[in-house]
Amino acid sequence: MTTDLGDISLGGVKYRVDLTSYKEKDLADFSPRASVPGGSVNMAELLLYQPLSMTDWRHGFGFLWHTDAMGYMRSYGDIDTRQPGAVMMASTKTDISDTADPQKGGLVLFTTSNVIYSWSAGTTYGVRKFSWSTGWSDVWKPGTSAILTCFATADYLFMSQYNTRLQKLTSAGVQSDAGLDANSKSWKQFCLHNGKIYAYQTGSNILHWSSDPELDDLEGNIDANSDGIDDDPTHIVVGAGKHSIIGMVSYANYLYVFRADGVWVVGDDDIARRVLDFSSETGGSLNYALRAIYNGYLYFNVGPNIYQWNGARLTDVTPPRLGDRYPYSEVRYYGGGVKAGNYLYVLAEYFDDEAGSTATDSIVCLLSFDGVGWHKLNDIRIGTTYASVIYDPIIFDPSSPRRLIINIDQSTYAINQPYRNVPVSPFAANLSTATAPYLKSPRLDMGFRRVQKSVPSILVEADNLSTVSTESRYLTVDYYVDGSTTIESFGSVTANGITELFPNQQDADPAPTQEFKNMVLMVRFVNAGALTTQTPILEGLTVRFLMRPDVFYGYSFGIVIAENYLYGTEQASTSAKDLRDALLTLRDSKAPIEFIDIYGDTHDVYISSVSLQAQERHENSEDGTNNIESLIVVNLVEAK
Amino acid sequence: MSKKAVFTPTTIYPSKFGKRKKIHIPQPDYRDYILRKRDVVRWEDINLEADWHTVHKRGVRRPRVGEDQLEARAVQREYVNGTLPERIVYKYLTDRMRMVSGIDFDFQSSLDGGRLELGGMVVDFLFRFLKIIIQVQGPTHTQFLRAARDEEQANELALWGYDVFGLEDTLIYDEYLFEEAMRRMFALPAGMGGSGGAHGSYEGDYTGTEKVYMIFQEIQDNLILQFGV
Repeated sequence: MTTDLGDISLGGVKYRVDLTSYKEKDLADFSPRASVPGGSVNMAELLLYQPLSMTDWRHGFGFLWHTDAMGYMRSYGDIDTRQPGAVMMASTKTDISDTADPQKGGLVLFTTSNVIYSWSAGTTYGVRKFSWSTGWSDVWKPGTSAILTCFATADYLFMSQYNTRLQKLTSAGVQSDAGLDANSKSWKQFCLHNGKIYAYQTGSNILHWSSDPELDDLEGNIDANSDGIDDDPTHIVVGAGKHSIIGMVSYANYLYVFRADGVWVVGDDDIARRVLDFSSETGGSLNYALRAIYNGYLYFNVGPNIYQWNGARLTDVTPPRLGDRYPYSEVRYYGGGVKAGNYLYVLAEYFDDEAGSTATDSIVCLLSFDGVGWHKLNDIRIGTTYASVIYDPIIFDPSSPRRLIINIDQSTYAINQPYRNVPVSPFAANLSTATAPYLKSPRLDMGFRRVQKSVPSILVEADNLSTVSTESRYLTVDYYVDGSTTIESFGSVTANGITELFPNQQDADPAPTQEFKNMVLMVRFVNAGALTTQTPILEGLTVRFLMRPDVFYGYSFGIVIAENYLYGTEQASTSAKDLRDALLTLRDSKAPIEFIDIYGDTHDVYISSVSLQAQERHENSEDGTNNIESLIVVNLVEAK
Repeated sequence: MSKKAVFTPTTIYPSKFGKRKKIHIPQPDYRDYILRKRDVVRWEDINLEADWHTVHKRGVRRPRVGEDQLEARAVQREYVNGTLPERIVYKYLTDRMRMVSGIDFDFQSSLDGGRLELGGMVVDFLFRFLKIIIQVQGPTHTQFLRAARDEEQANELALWGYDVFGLEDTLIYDEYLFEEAMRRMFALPAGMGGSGGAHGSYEGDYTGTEKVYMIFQEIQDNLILQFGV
């Protein structure tokens, strides 16, 4: 049969079609609706463009993809996302470092005198106290060796030095010996529990206790003169083996004692029983640096994980990863934690991914946990790495203004914390957008990762902005698409209320658009007026978008099946049955076949259906087959 | 009055003009097998307004593009067999609050015989140690019998020391109000002073916050007694 006469070609064979039946139609959805939380929450169905709104950020950081309407990827610098319906700058740190004796070992608040004490773990061997009016001053300078810890009760501040008898200090500043005798020394930590003060010595796995508020009967030895008689018959052995005690905390009427290889509890019978086994995690030098009780649960860290313990079950509540660039930012170590107000505060060290593969610095930051989400409030210190557990490097001073006092390395900082949800100053001044703290949205993929989207503009809701020359406060919105390292800008928001911003800071006319598969928004909080009592506030982000999936076409037409059909002025030489059989063979093809349409364009298609309608019977064909003239309707689907 | 004679014919003769004649039409020797048109012609081929493109007999199968936005907030039905609002609450408890099903809470917990006995109860979410019960209220809970039964159950549960909170499905569907309600029930930092952030406040009667603070102390003792730690 001849193959060169016809309107279209299927599988290399030309066919004559009934032209009025020829149809071509796109098969994909014009613009599928977003299927992520927060997408199209307001009356999007009435619009061409669909909005995706973010108006609350209380589920915290760590959401790489937009799977939660209240989550975001990360923040950088002082950002507080804990307030309902708002993001603002977090209160910044105030440096109260002790320049004369910077080697701080820890902090304790002596509530009787409301004075903060800290002690030197380095070479200057002293206990110093801090007041906001006079700064740091000496309390005790014994020399010889490092101070191990200080411990405050209602009446006394106890000071423990390595290999030196325990000392106690009244709120009036009168110092005297404590403990039973000279063997009561080298105490590493004290813990008030069930009316007793429990203590252990450095490098030991034995607990001693005293119910005397002056600790006058606290034994420091089990058998000092080796006469076989127990000097402290009430001592408690916490587990066997080489691991010494790392920490203690009183929780739920039990004393929880931490060793590198697990957690023990001491009950009313003063017997230590192991409840959690971490013997495979003993390599973590910073295990249990965090020991805090928050909202009824005990939180502690083992290596880079934070666990929540309720007395019966262990749940991993580790903060999620920060950032989307390799090497990923992830919390590596924890320095300590404290509950203050409604929140749990944790000191954490993470690796900075913003510098990419050239990053060498670790950042010690302040995390806050509200029972639902993790929030990073401040990047406190860059270039600091935790080496070992420091006891109580973060404490809370509830007197007004409510402050967190933090020891990091050789510096001390105070950070005001809000009472309830009222933001408190000071806020850091940022003289340029480059140094301003920012919030990074998740990758916005609208639920369809591989579909191109088109964004004509975004809407930003903001408050407390100012363009007065002395107090310049505004937001800038940057973005990058599809993981690009090129950061583009939507421009600045300088007016309260709703501001519409366009890609690449263009004007609305002609409408510029940005096409992407996923987009990350970065909102910078600029406080260039250096007014430390004010912060710009972000209240809402809305991305207007249209999804534009790839187009597939379908074709449908009737093919004339007739012997030696006429085409123009020429006549084909083929039988009807040959034409029909060729189409049925193509229908059965498992691979796509070549299709040349009526305009001569070539496509790869599958034949999805063949429908034959017989018309008229004629004399047999020349090759002896039945010559039945018919029309075959063929449907094609484009293969892509 | 004389009686009028009535003519009654005794015989009916057929009309000469009305007589019918049967016409015989010559029939072919064989008859075509006649099919109705719709049995042999695709409906799509004769109805041009229809979605004409045929992949299967029902036309182009348009895939369900994307999942429902509420389903995106819910645990899959394959894992938890419950209504959509129940599965949203379930996912919030396990994902956002890191609770463990079966320990921190029981889903569809049977009390006092459950569905097997008259008067038995099935509560949606039972927090055994927090002494809290969350009932997810569907659209039918305002019906008289349902409301009466719910009230009776709530009274019984209150005698046992439970606080019963009802969460309406419309509240659960609004993720911002739902967030606020859950935080208040579990004593977590919420928008204080009635603020629900940008989305208004949920003016519910949740008083769980103080209770949870108190109960947290008791819980620990209960847990330790129960599990023999």
